[in-house]
Amino acid sequence: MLSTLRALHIHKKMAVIATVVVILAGITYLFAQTYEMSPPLLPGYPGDAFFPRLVLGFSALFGAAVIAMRLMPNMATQVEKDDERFEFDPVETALTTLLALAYMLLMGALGFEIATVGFMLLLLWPRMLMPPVKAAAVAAITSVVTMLVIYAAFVIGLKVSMPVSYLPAYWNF
Amino acid sequence: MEDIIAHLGSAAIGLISIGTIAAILMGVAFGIVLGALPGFGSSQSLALLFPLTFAMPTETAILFFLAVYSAAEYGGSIPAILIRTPGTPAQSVTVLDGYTMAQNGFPTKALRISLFSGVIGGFTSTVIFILTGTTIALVALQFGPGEMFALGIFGLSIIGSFFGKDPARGFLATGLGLMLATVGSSGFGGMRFTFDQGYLMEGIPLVVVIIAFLAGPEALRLVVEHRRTVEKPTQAVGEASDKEKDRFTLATAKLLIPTWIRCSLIGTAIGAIPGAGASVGALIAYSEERRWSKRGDKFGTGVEEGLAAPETANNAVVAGTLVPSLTLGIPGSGTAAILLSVLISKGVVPGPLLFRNEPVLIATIFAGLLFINMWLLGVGLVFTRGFAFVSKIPRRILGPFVLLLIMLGTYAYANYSAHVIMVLILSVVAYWFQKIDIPVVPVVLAFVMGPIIEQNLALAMTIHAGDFMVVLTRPITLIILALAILTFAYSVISQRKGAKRAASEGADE
Repeated sequence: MLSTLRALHIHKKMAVIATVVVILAGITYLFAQTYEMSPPLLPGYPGDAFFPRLVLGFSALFGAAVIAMRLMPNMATQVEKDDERFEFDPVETALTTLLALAYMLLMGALGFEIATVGFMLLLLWPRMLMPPVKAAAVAAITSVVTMLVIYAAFVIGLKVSMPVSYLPAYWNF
Repeated sequence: MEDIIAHLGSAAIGLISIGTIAAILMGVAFGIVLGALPGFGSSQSLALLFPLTFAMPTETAILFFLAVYSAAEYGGSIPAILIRTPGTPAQSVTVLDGYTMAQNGFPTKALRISLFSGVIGGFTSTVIFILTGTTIALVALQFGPGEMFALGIFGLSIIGSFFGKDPARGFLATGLGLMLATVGSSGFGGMRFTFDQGYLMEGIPLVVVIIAFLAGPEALRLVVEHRRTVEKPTQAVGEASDKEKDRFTLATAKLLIPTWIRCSLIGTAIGAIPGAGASVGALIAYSEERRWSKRGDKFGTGVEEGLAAPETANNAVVAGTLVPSLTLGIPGSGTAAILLSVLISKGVVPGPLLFRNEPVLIATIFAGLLFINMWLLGVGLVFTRGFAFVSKIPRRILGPFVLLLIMLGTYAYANYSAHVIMVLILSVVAYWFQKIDIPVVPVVLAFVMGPIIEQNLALAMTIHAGDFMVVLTRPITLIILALAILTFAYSVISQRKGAKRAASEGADE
């Protein structure tokens, strides 16, 4: 089951239509929101909602065109082949995104040093094509070195205010 | 014009400061290394390095970026010549004669031809840019807000028409970019699409959109799709057995002069057309050179002109891209959008007024481009072979580093984790868009142009008492809008013709 999810073969035409439907739903919602925007105060100024409405209308028009091109029989085969599919790995995409979000959210609590080493270790370990123990050791060393290089470049070099917890006590300028 | 020329001398002297030289050298080194990485083009390299400019003064930041841009266009050629691995699609043409020449026993000569061609392409297009840029800006300075609005629409028509597989998807992406640009303050006191969320009050920062749509999808692709990829071992072409023949001589230079002239012009012209870029420039230069050269039938067997043509055009595109970007405020590519973003982030508004209000900056860019090509030549002559190893880094290992860099780079912008979360969410959206062939570059370009278009529209309407039709029907505005409609019609017709041809060829097979 998991291996199937790791290599979904998605029908491209259906994916395009579904995506554009979601975008059109979003556009409808945003269009409704434009009625809550400030009315024009300056004479001649068309108001805060004028440009967003133009943009939303423009996007809706071309969104509808994208769908129409896929539904009209004489156009459909010109934009995509009927059986055209693409491979997508939702598991790895979701895991990577969640890991990245967790890294950002935990950086404050754990400190830049531990969070960065943990984040890189989790990403690098499965990518080291070698026995697990050796892979863990290489990934750990690489992660620590990466964290130190990033600290030197961003915190010391570029003076970026990272939530560092331990390193400034040992390495500072 | 006189102002800019008057400042050229002082701008050139300013380039000799230690800080500027260090920024240019760093830019050249970063550019060559990132350009040599598989799948990393100039726009991805610039997006990744964008955060480094936050701490730099305006002139240094723009010179750093131009150095990265020029060097990245050249950097991809090194692995293309030595190990048959083009860094970007633009270098796919370089492989044809570059790798063959190296395999024939002339790797050093191939690398030198690539370097000299790139530098000469960069030099020539800079001179053309100096001559034409100011003239175009002088014409555009006569434009009022209505005409500038129309010019923005014309820019959008090109962006939507020529990025991606069909214009409908290109324009949808353009609309999404404009939509993202409307989030936050309207500039006239009101708030839009903020949903009472504090992190949206100041709008979505440019850095977030650039990193999310240009570097984000590449980072996710590397992490997700190359998790277990094992690259085939590639053997770099070794030293030549006959070192006497493996040299770039005066005779080679004389032979290549016509190629350099032709392909510099082609590259500059292609660079100035929004949406075309280095890949198209290299391809057209190669096919044109094949037509013009006396040895056209031997192209693909390691011919000097076959290698020099795409390499000259590749780098000539750099200054060509700056023509519409700086003179009219229309970014023609992802890289141009990032360059404009650097200016905007420093409080400088691109467009014709830039030439009137910031003559020192323009003079610095002019002189800096020439200076950068000199440094590129120096660094290239000394270190070229050393950079080839970079392209051997496995993609599965590269992915986590790129992801970490884009996250920390975004965080460095304002020390705000909400920006990083925005980047992550938009990167997933951009990654999905790439999967279904919705082009992502128009999102960035439209995002950059959106505020400029809206401000000019609001100004024009205020001047004309809110009458939209009066704004649209002024003579120059009407001509520019007609051009925009023609561009759109042309793209639709050519897309339909191309699709019909492809469908009939498929049926024949």
